Amino acid sequence: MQVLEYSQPFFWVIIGFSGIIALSYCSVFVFPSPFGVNYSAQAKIFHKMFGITLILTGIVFFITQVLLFLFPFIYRFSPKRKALYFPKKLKLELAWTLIPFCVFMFLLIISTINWWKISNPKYKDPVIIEVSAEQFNWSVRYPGKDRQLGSYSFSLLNDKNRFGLDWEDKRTHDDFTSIQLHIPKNKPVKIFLRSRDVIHSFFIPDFKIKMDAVPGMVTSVEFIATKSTQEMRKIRKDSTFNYEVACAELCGRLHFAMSLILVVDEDKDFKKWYNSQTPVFTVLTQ
Amino acid sequence: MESIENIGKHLSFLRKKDLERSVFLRFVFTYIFSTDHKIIAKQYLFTGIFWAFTGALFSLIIRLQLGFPEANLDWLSPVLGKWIVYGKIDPEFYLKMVTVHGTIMIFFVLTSGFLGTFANYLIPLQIGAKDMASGTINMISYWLFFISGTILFLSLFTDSGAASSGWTMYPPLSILPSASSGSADGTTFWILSMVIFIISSILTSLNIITTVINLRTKGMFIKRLPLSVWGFLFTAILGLLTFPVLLSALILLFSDKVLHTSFYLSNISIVGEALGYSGGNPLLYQHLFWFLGHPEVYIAIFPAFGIVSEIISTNARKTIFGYPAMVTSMFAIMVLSFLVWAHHMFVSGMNPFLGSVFSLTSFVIAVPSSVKVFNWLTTLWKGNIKFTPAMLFAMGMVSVFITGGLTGLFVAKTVSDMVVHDTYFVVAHFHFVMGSASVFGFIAAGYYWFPRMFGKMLNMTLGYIHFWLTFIGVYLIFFPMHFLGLSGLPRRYYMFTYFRTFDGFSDINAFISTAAIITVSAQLILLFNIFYSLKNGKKAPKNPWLATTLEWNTTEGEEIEVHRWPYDYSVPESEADFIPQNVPDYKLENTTKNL
Repeated sequence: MQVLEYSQPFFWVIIGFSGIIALSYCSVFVFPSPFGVNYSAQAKIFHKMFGITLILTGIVFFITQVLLFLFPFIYRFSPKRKALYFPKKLKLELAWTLIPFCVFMFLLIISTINWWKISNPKYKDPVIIEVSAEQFNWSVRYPGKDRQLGSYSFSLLNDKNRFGLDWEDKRTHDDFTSIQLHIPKNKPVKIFLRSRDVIHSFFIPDFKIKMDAVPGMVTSVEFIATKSTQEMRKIRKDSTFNYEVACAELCGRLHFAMSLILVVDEDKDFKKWYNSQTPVFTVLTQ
Repeated sequence: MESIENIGKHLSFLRKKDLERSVFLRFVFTYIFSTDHKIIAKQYLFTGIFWAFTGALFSLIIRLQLGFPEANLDWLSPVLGKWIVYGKIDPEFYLKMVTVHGTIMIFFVLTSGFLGTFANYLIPLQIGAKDMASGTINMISYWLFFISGTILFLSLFTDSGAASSGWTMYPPLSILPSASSGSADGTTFWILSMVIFIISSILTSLNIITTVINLRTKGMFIKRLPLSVWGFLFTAILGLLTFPVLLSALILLFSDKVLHTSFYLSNISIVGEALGYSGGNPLLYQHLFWFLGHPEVYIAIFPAFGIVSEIISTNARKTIFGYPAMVTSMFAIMVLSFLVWAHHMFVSGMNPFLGSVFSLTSFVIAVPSSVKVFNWLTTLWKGNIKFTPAMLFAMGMVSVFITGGLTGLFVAKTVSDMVVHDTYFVVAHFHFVMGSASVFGFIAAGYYWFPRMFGKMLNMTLGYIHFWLTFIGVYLIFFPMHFLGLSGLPRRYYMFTYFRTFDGFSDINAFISTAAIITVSAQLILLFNIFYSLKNGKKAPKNPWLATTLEWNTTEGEEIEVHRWPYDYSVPESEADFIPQNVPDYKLENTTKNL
């Protein structure tokens, strides 16, 4: 069993080192690329940020892992040698405190600047939509022709009035709902999120957008879609392709099935669709 | 502390005579309700191993479902009973497994199992104390831990099953029985279990802090403490200051659930019924929870930091590089860890400005972590490195810590966290940096101190096989998860076939599941090794790794005086390979012979 003991340094380098390098390299080819096509303005920012971080961390990853596997191999035990007595060296320690600090601050600054672009984009005149989450459904409400969402109260919620709309408020009268979430291409969209029961999270994987829907609170998320569903069907060579909205915060038994179809229309199609919808108030009063 | 012991003795209904006469009573008070730190450490060790295997088994049920969602699992129905419906795992049961796996691994294995075993065992031995400050509190602490584990385990057998809202137990899901079946009795059991656990953990922390501050032997100045003791001390301080916050969060959660107060809930209408909660806010719970939740990962990793430094230095026959920096960086991480909690909440509806503040602190906390990694690497440089299984696991810990630490930069950044939050990327990140790294530290410590604990050597060959299977396995399981996460696969999903975006990764999931089954099975080698070596192992020499710390170089009951710091390996002025802490003179003969 002596053989096994002395072969460990070789295992360490061959299996450990080349294994990890091979794994990280192969994964680039085997797995889908993290740098996808940008389907939204936000995805573009994300991919830029992600790329910078990946390059910086990648360099550190390879240097540290290589050293971790090479040092033990080169300096494996020999009774003839004595280890170097090297308890401290201030300059070295300062170097690897300050250099990571500067790199991290660089990442922080570019990330924060872009975070403001995403979390508070100040788009002019966005298309306003409200999405309400419940176990295990998303409901979509549009403000109608007045482009103002009418007020609601949670105490008015019932089977017919799924949003708890307050009919006293005239602005609710032209609000309409939709089974699918329709948005225009290349136009800013602002989605107000609320939840009827537990916390859900509104997640569009293709747009790199995520925001929680919290009961008792209204949250919002803004984005611009840059590829319409029809264009995507051509790109993906899949005539049934649809964008999907998923729930990303554990919300119970059917969390994994809480989906909503998202349709990105050309602007003129969107307007046509928007103007042809019947308000909830009209449906209920007829 | 002393007075409590005395009161205990005074009130004891047992007379010494009774104890001497009865074999049974002697057994009970030596091995079950023992106040000896070494016995309590072994109790923690075996309880911790039990929980680690239980938690791993639960993770296999999760992986079985994710890897092979189409498989017929009727063969599991004798064990899982009603939770197997038409050959499929019930989605609620899947979520219960997710919840219980997380709770067990984080609290019972990485917090109490790890700290309870090695802090209790090593602190008195390494600082030259006779025992922990209070043996009675130590014993109470262990039994509270045992009770809390039992309660959580029993909750699996209640009618509606264990809690099913994730280990984070976010309200309203965790409060409303109509939202999730586990929120009926499961959450109540979980809260009860956690409250008892927190009391146990606080008692352990107090005991550790008191011992390290007061009971150091002559000459064991604070600058001469081994890094492992520093690790335990910082863990204890962190636990003492953060666990009470979780306790308060859970009391409010309990109050919302049972007394229908509205700390966390507001405007809820579920199954067509408007509930009377108003004015609360679920974000309050998240803030309180993560105030413990984030320091918790450092509670899990600090002991590993210390132990790995210890093992690397000993096996590289080289003094640890930058001892003051190692201690300072742990201290810095400890302080900063109080200020990073809301990086779990970038998209929770919290003000986005707060997000950038917490992003700043999260980046700053990465600096001391990278200092530690560089110091370990420099310790290896020009060493004389022995590849013992303990050393392999210690270096493996550094490797997985680097991998997981670097992905931490992606999640600390607000922009990329918005995308990878609650996806498999995060699962991969924390399983590397907290899960695997701490477990590697735990196992390394096991291999290293087993001879001291049980007087037998563990089998080296089995140790090597165990390491390679585990090390490769961990990478094969968790590395591909980064890509799943970047493709958007959310965590805690029962299956991915409902979304076309997520479908199409089933082969990767099957691969991960296969790797997980093999890696968990490989842990049976360790279990076998422990019991085999306990019976048939070689008798351990007094100082098998030629280490300098007191536990290897002194016998119990001896008056100890410490003359040096614990990392005197290959000192140039001395002929000796190493100089134990209790040796006054450089040129003593017994040390030179050891090489």
